[in-house]
Amino acid sequence: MKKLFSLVFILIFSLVFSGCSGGSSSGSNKEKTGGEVTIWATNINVPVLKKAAEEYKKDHPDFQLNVVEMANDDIRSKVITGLQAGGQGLPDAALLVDDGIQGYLDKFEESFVNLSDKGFDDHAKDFPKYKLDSVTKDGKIYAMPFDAGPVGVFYRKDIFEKAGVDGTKIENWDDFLAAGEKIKEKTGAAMLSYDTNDSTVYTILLSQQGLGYFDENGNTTLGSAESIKVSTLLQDLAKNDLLLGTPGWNAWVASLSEGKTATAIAGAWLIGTLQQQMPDLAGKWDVMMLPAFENGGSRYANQGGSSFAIFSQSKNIDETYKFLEYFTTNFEMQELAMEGGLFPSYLPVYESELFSKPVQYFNNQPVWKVFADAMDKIPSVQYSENDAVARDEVIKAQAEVVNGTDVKDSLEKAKNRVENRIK
Amino acid sequence: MVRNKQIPYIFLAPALLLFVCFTIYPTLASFILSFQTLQDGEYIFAGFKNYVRLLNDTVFLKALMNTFIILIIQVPIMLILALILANALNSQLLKFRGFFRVGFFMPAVTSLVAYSILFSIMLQDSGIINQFLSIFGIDKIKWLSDPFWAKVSIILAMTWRWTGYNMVIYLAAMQNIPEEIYEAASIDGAGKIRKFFNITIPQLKPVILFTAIISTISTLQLFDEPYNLTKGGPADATMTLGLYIYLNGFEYFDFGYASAIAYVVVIMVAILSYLQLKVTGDE
Amino acid sequence: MQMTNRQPKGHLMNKFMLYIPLFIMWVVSIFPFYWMFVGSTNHTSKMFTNPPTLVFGDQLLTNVKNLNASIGIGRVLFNSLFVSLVYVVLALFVCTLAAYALSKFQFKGRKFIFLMFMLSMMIPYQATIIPLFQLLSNAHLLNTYFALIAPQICYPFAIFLMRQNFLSFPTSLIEAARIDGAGEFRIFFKIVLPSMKPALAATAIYLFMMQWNNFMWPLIATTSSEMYTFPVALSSLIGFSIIDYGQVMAGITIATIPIIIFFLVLQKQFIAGMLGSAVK
Repeated sequence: MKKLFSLVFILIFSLVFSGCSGGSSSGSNKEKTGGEVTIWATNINVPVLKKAAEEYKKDHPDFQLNVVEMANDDIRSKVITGLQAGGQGLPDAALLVDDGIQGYLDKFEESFVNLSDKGFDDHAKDFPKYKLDSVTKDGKIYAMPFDAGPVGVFYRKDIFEKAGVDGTKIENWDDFLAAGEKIKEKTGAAMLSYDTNDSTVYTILLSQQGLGYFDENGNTTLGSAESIKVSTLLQDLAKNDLLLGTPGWNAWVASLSEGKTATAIAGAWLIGTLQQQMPDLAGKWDVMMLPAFENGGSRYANQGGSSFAIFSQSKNIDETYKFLEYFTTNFEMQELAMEGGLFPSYLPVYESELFSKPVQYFNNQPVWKVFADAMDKIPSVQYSENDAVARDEVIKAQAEVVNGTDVKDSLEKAKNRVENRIK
Repeated sequence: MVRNKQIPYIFLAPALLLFVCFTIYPTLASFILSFQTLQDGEYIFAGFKNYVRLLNDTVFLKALMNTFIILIIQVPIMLILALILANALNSQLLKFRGFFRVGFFMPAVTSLVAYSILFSIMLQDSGIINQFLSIFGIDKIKWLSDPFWAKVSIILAMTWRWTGYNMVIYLAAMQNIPEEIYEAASIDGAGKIRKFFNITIPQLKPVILFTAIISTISTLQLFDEPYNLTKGGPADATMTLGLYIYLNGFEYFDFGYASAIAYVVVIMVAILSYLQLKVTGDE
Repeated sequence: MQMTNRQPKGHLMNKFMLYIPLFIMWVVSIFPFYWMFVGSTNHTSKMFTNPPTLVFGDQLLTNVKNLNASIGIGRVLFNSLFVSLVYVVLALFVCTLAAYALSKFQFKGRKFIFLMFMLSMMIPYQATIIPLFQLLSNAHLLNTYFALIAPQICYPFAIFLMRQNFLSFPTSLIEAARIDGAGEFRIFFKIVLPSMKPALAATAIYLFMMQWNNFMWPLIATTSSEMYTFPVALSSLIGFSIIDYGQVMAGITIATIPIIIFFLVLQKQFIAGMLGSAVK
């Protein structure tokens, strides 16, 4: 038993001792070496940021970048925890998903550095308006725009051809429905596959019409004419068996790789997903812009995208600001990002050859250019702190109309639920 | 007669010290938080506002109902299955005991991420499970998109995951039962079933109670499966209290409300556990 | 003793009825793990085939190499092992002591303390995680092994499990030892504990698994990748649109092996009780 006791003492001792060492790089805000900057970002951004740091170091030898890699959901959990705890445990900066930024700003504005005050307004002209709007509050910019998700309708050219449908002739949603019926008849494939656990498609279709889930006065847009159009479209697709619902992201990607659907509506980032998950479908996919709701209407929307926010309790705000400013507004850096699989929102970089390059996966078409051209046409939408609640109610409403519930009823009920919940 | 009256306290000391530091303090802090709401980035006192809000919250009530339905169905099924399996593995007849034991335990260690990806693919409308069922002429079941079947899917996933785990606990306790008791019963002419009900189960009472209470508590806090398989859908059919607490904290940024829900859960679980203890006559 | 000729048929039927359902359940239990392992040997594009891919590929080494480049397997493995093993030893020690006191002694406050432990199990972790985070942050102990291990050493589930098992231990033996003049610690370590090996093993497995798979707290409590444990490191592989499932599955497989080993090693303890009585 003496052995056991000594073992336990050693363990307790090492435990307490390890409390002092803890990881080679200091996570705590206290000890900060001169120019070390910590940024939280998802895996795809890490190589790009590291290369950028190397370049930046050439003129700023003191600079050290510490990129901590984590999933988007985890970034959110940790940022919320840190904000809740009064700013503890937060890094110098984090790459935040755009549609959550307004929510953070509404509740924790003082925790974010006002970038306009640091001079970022000078760069405003280099970014699309809709992107800036998503990171602006009360006229001040709080995050540096980075990557974007211009939406396209990705479609299986081979399935279309088999059914005798020409993708370039589809201009509005009625055309889309008609094409879907032909495709269903001739090939058995659904026209559109969507994730039933999420509200991505619904959000895209709303934002195509220039709407978010709330208007500037904080009233929900559910129940509006635009929302009725979206719900009706989904219902029409479902009625004719053209809509394939999949439970979750993985099942949705699976439906694409199994050829169960002729189209998928997503941001430009889907190019990367297709290339990696379905290499055997190379040459079979093409892209078109969203069909309009009425002729001449908008064919553009954005889904996804992120921006860099700097936290107020950082001990290195200036250094962080300068590096990120360099990164997000430098032509070569943004080209680097593009090569790394990200779609930049920095307008000048669209002049780069990278955008007019043919993409083998898409039959050597310059698909990147298609998206680049769309960027300045994407309408701005209103974001709100209550978006998360509205999204959850939309997911329910969407399930209802797909199963046949009356569209107006379903939206009215959703509207009431949202209003009750945000009181 | 215990010589040193202090002994039990000495034995308890390390646990109590850690408990006060790492459990009592955060619990009190979040309890206080449940009486506050976030306004303009500051937490202000709001009395019982959060608790009152709960009573009118349809999502909360739905979560409550779902959680109880799942609880009442899943826990008994799982525990009974675990008992039967443990008994089978404990039986003298069986060879390859270790083989089965490890196999049944695997679900408990299989990563949540891995099996939820697999289940969501297999349980799709066109997934392999429906394909298998169609061989027997059974129509496609909407495992994850129908409110009823979604609950069934969650129950199946939970049972798959935790039965082996409980089986291991029962097996350990069964191995503690002296052989002599069984032999004596054999001499008295008792058959396998008599032995099971008259010896095994009573000897296992404390451990069965343990697993019942633990399973109840875990199920009342159920989060993993609804979050990964259905996100609480379709239309809140699989929304559970655990998931709702998480959403209120980490999606809607309302930790005061989330804490209130948490403490309502605590009260309910406490009552249930108390009843379970009373029913089995534990002190 | 009379030799009875059992009909071979009947005997075989019994075996059949026992083994077949067990085997089916075994397959159902193992299948996802098998699928996962196959996934780690294939390219990510094979992940979403319907029906699921069940044939081994040749990408295992590539996936492991890529995984190592992404998260640094060595360090993550060390973190998880160190944290889990140290945790199990400390938690088992602390909780068993407490459980013994709560089951074999009468003293003031016994019911109250037990009640407190029980109640604390019912509190959903989402409620207490942030104040706990603040506590450790204020103490400047975030991102340390201490933060990963200490908060849950007193683990009421384990106290509860050991207590229930202690209840089955005959108090008469303890009394007898006291009359013989043995000290309390001696009784505990030399008489009671040795016969509790199966229960200790079960509890140890329980604790190890909990800590090994612990995700939320290590996620919140660490701020640099050098301190990541497996669940957190694997989660960081999930990008927004591009996920290399070959890496993910390889990582998960590697992460599952230690638990299986831990279980296999400890399950020998279950057999100990089988040979004759566990008591005396």
